[in-house]
Order: sequence, then structure tokens, then C-alpha cells
Amino acid sequence: MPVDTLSTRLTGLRGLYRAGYRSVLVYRADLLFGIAGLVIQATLTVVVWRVLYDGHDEVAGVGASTAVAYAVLAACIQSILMPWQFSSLPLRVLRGQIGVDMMRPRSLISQNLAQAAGTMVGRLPVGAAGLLTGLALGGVKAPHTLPDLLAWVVSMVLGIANVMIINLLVSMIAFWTVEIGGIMILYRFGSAFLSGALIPLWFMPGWLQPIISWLPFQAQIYAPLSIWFGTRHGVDLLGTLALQLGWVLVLFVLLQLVWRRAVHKVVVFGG
Amino acid sequence: MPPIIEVSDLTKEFTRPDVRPGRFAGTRSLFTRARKVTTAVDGISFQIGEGELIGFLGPNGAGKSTTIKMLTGILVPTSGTVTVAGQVPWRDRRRNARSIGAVFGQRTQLWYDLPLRDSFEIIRDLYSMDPATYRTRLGEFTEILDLDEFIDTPVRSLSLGQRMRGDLVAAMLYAPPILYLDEPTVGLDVVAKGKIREFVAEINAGRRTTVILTTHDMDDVERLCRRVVIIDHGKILYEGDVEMLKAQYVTSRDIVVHCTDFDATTITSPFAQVVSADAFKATLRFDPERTAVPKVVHDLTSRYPITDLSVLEPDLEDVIRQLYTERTPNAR
Amino acid sequence: MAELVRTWSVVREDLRASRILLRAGWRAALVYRASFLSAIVGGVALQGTQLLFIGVLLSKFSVIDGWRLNDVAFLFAMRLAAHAFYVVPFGALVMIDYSIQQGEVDRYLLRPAGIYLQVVTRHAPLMALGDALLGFGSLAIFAGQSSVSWTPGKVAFLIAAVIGGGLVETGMQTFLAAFSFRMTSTISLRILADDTITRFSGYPLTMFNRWGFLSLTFVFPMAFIAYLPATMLLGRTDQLPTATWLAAISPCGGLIIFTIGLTFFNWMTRKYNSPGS
Repeated sequence: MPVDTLSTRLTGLRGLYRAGYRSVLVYRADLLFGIAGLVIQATLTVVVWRVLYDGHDEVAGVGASTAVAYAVLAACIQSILMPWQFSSLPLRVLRGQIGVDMMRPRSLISQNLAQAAGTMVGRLPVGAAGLLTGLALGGVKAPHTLPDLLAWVVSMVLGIANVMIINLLVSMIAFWTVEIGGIMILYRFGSAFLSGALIPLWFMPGWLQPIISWLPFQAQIYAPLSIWFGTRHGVDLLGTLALQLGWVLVLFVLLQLVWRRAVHKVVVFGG
Repeated sequence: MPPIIEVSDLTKEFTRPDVRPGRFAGTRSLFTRARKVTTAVDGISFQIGEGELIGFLGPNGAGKSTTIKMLTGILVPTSGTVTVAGQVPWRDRRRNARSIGAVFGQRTQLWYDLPLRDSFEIIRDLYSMDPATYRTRLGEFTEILDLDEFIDTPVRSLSLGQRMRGDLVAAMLYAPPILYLDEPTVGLDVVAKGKIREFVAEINAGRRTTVILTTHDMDDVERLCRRVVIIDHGKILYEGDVEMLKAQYVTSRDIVVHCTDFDATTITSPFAQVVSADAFKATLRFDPERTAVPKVVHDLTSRYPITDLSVLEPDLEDVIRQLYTERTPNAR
Repeated sequence: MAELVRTWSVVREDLRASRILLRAGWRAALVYRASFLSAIVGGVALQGTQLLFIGVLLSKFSVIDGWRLNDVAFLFAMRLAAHAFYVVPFGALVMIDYSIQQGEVDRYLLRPAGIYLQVVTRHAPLMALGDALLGFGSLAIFAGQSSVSWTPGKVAFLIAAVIGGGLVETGMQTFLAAFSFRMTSTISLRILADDTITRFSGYPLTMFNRWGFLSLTFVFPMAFIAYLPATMLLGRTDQLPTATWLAAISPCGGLIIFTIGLTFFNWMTRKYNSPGS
């Protein structure tokens, strides 16, 4: 009986991480078209925002260059965090392979999170291509100060954790119904809107802003980007990070609860 | 028998990306465009007569399925010609579709979520069958294949054997003159195999349907086919009668002798060699070309008080195995 | 003449077959009743976010490239309705990679009906009902609020344009789907096209400079989906760097693009390499 140390644990998970990473590279056409797609999208996005700003200096207190840069960066981040298939879990539940996964010596949650992390790393070239396009068109701005950049790194890590947990939570609906295609699409596009990946919260109508700020999605993309552009300082900055951390903790507890019920269901009713 | 299927010099090549293993193979494959050409079927020719039931044999990857797919019009040949009932299958695809039925053991052509009966009705409509013919034929087939118990079950809930029977009916409903069967008995139990063989024999003998059967099950071949075409590495190894094949390859026959009153290890024969023996049973081998069976039997029975004796039939399975290994010394 | 008779009999045979296969597809879809609502909601969400996006933007900016809110909304609605004319009849095209990988195309080739027809009737695209709901709903609302002064002639032009726009999208997707007979997967290519169309075909396309506009008209012809016919209805053809008559006959673009796509698709079916040896 091998001793389950932290390092053996990590080795096991590294295999799954690599599986996720490789599965991106195997479908090379998907990756190449993903890159082409983001290059086109970034280009057209820059044009759309510049045309929109034609004749305005500032809208909702935001200048043209910030709005353009926000749109490009948000598209790049989203292309990495939201691959078309963000978990193999629903398919494995549907095919009844989940029983095998549960017999492995690692918890299903860490298996799935490791695989999702691998997929995200595999998709880094897509995001990089989008970023280069934005830079070439002069549509990207760096953070104002070094502390802003450091705060952004922390905030982005929390945002990524948030996305990974919610993606897995939504995928777990597969334990209760096989027909999750519609729900997945609703989640994908709903979260794109609510996370600020399509439009920064600055431009949202006044009545919608408080609703969105109370949902976990804005902590995924809008929060880190608002730090990047230096719109948060002092207490506001710390509050934003605290709220992001709070969401990650709450979501993680929720994930454990849902997971426990799912296991119960599989054990009692079969996969 | 006029030929209904004529194949001449048929060849199929496939081009596939050439993946080289090694470090960064995945990343490298993003950019490489190396291609490799493989020849699946290599200039084969044969004819099949109307009303024949022919076995189409060969090891995995021999080119069997590729050939069948060219005969059915699924694949376009790289070179050579195929005519089926006077048509070029891939060119006259629609007309060809009406004159052939096909069952591919691994895949179903039935509508997965619907009851079996619905699939039959869809096929009835697709092939514009008149209702009366449809009813009679479905009735007859139902009887031979015992469809009654599951005809109203959705296809996804059927067992493999049930599904295969459903597929057979779906392929024969519109009474095509030619039927292709690709591994119709693979993975089935003895009873289901029996049912399917009975059905195939019926439609061949009773309805004069030409049947092309690919299988790995030599029982299928022994029970159904008089003639076989055997291919390997895309080329024809043997084409002809099953009995002739056996005669050609079986150079020895075995006799098994049982006895209770004396020790079987003491048995000897001037015509045969003892292969194995214990206290109650001995197996002897002889060359049927040199010595006739009755002579060997008579010699043994006259000299020993034997309780039981049997002459083993030559086993087609062994013949085929011998054929493959002989012709392809460096394969596998 | 004989050729014409033969073609006509093939068309008639295909229409009959499509009726039979569609009925089977819908019957199979209805087996899973629960998925119905979820799929429709998904369809509305997919296109609805785009509508929300443009709504939020225009509430802040009110003008884009000289087009006011109501006309941009109308342009978007035209595109959504055109999209419904693609996904409702042809939505099953999405599954082509799967059909080829699983060897379902083997079975299509064995049946006396067209391959393309069997691909598009493979299953009932439930999600498309959500697209249709949103598309026709928003067109009904925003057509009235646009600056078009409606006459029976213009209404007829609008209907032709929306159907034509659906055929443009169908033709483009059919063309790309045809590559599936040679490549293992084209889904990402088709998602790329779909995504570009979804995000950008509802804008006044002349905002992407002259060359950008020309390539969106003649290379990746998404200008025919909604923008060209909309300039005709709104009397904005003077914005176009091309001749006005191109906008006037733009509803016919769908027929041409669809014919090209379908011809290419049928030609590519001969390149089909059935999976498994």
C-alpha cells in the first residue's frame, strides 16, 4: 500500500493535467481555427469599438482606448477560460464511465479540475494570438503601475478558480439529467454577458449593475480587468479581491455539497 | 449461372497523414503535412453468379470491408471496375440502392430511438412498397426470426442478437436481389446464430437472393457457403469450392478410437501413426490419399475390441489458418 | 429534355424521402420530452446575448456608423430571422463530423435518397425553435420601429431577403461541411464561421473599410445575409462602395451561394473514406 503523500497525489493529477493539455493539441485543426477565429474577432472588435466611439471622447467615464483594450483583453481571456467543451464529465456520465473514474485513487473533483487546467494551458496560444493582434492594431494598454499589475495577477488567479469551479458545477447537472445541451449553452452565453466578457459593467444600464455585481460571474473577468485598467485603489481594490476570494470559497463549498449528492445518486441508483 | 457481380482489377488506395512518434509529436503534427499511401485492395478480380451464396473471407485488415464497401457503392475505387446487376454502384448510386440490401454487423441502419416497427415502416415508405406486400413479407420474416416479442421495443433497448435480426429484416424488406452481410453473427450466442443462418439459407434458397457473406466464423461458412473467396493483404489467396479447398490443404485425417477392455496405448496400425493415447482413447493420423478411410477402420476394428470409433471431419478453421500462415510468412 | 425529366424525378423522390425522414426525426426527438424546453431556451440564449449586447451598447452610444438605434435593431432582427431559416431546416448539418466518423454516411449511401438530404434530416434541431422564436419575434417588433416606410412591395422584399439570407448562411456552412469528407473534423472551422456571422453580420458592414467590406461581400459573403438587403429597404445604398443593383438583387444571393455550396458538397461525397478498414 503506497503512502499517499502530497507528491504522489500531484503526480497522479499531473497525468490528468497532461491529458487535458494534449487533448487540445491532438485536435490541431481546432486549435488553428481557434487562433484564426480570435485574430479575426479581435480585429473586428477593435474596429467596432472605434467606430462606436466616433464623435465621443468619453462614455460613462471611459475613454475610447480603454474600451477598445478592454474588449480585446476580455476576448483573449475568455477564449482561454471557456473552451467549447469545458469538461468531459457529462459525456463520461452519459457513457457510464464515471464509475471507473470514481474508483481511481484521486477525488473526481481534483481529476476534473486538473484536466480543465490542462485544457486552459493548451489553449494559451489562442489567447496569445489574440493579444498579438490587439497589440499590432494598437488596441492594448498595459497597467498604469506595478502594484496594479501584481493585484491583477492575484485577481486573475481568483477569477480562473471561479470559472473552473462554476464550469464543473454546471457540468455536474449531468448527474441528474442527460439533456444538458440547452443548459450548457444558456450558461455559456449567459455567463459571457454577466462576467463582462462581452461588455464591461461600466456600460450596463443603471438598474442592471447592482444585480450583476451581486452575482459570482463578474468576479471572473470584469473584476481582474477593472484592476488592470487602474480603476480600483485602496479599500476598493482590497474589497474587490476579498469579494473574489469569498466567491471562490463559497463556490468550492457548494461544489463539495453538490458532489456529495451526486455520489449518493450514483451509488444508490447506478451511474 | 450468369454473373450478377463482376469485379475486375479492383484497387483502393488510402492516403493518411504520416504521424511520427517522438518528443513534441503533438506540437509537430500541427505543422507537418507528410502523407502515407496504403493499398487496401490490390487489383482483385472475381465474379459472383446469380443466386449464389458466397463466403468472403480473410484476416482482419485484409481488405474485406473495403472490397464490400466498393461493391455496395460506399467507396469509389481508385482503379478497376465493379458492376453489380449491370450498374456501377457508386455512379448509379440510387438505382443500385434499390437492388441491394446490406447488414454491417458493427453498425445498425435502424432508427436508434424509435421502436423497431417504426424503422420498418420508414423503410417501407422510402422504398415505396405497397402496403399488402409489406404486410405479407414482414409477417413471413417475423415468423422465421421470432420478432414478435420485441418489434415494439425501441432499438436502443434491444440486445445485440435482436438488433441484428431487425437489421436483417430491414435489409430484406424490399426484396433486393443481392444481400451483403458483413459479420452478421459476430458476438451472438448459439441460438441467435442459428436463427440468422436459417434466415439467410431461406432467402438464398427460397427467394433466389444472391448473398455475399463476410465472417470470421467458419461454422457460418460450412453451413451456408459452397464457394469462398479468400483475400489477404488486398490480394486473392483462394477462390473456389469449400470442399476443394479442404481437399487441397488437408493432407491428413484423424481417427479417434475408444476402448474399455484393454490399454489404448498399445494400439498400433500399419496405415496410421498414433498421435496421442491414454488408457481409454487413442488418436491416429493417416494420409487419405494413400490409404482409404474404410481400410484403416477395418484394420483397427478387426484387430482390437473397440467400443467406439470416429473419423474427424477436416476442420475449415485449421485449413484457413494454414492458408494464412503459409502465404504470409512474415506477417504478424 | 430526358435529362430534365430525370432531374425532376430525383427532386420529387428527394422531397418524398425528406418528408419521411423528417417525420422520423421529429418522432425520435419527441421521445425525450424534457430536452424540448431546455433546447429552446438554449437557442434563445445563444442569439439573445447578441441582442442584449447591441441593446446595451446603443443605449450608451445611440449611433453606430451613422445608423440610429432603431435601424441597427432592425438589421440585427433581419439577421436573426435569416439565421432561423438556416437552422430550422438545415440545423442537423452541425452533426456532419459525427455522422462521418461513426460511419453513418455508409448507410446514407445505401439508401435511395440524396446524401445531403439525409444529413440535414438526421435529427430534428430542437434548439432551432428557440432561434426561430427570437428571430421572428424581434423582426416583428423592430421592423415596425425602423425608419422604413413599409409598402407591400417592401414587405415582399423583406420576406425574400430573410429567406435568401438563410440560404446564404446555409450555403456557406454546407460548403465548409463538405470538407468533412476529407478532414477528420471541421467543427471548429464551422464554429468560427458561425461565430463571425453571429457577432458581426448584424452591423453596418461598411464600417470595416473598403477592402474589409468587399471581402465580406465576395469572399466570405456574409453581407448578403442582412446588410445588403437592409440598405435597400432603408434607402442607404449610397453608403455602398459597390453598385446599387447588387443590393437590389441581394435576396437572390442566397440561391447562388447555396447552389455553389451544395454542388461542392455533392462533389466531395465521392471523396468519402468510410471509417474502419
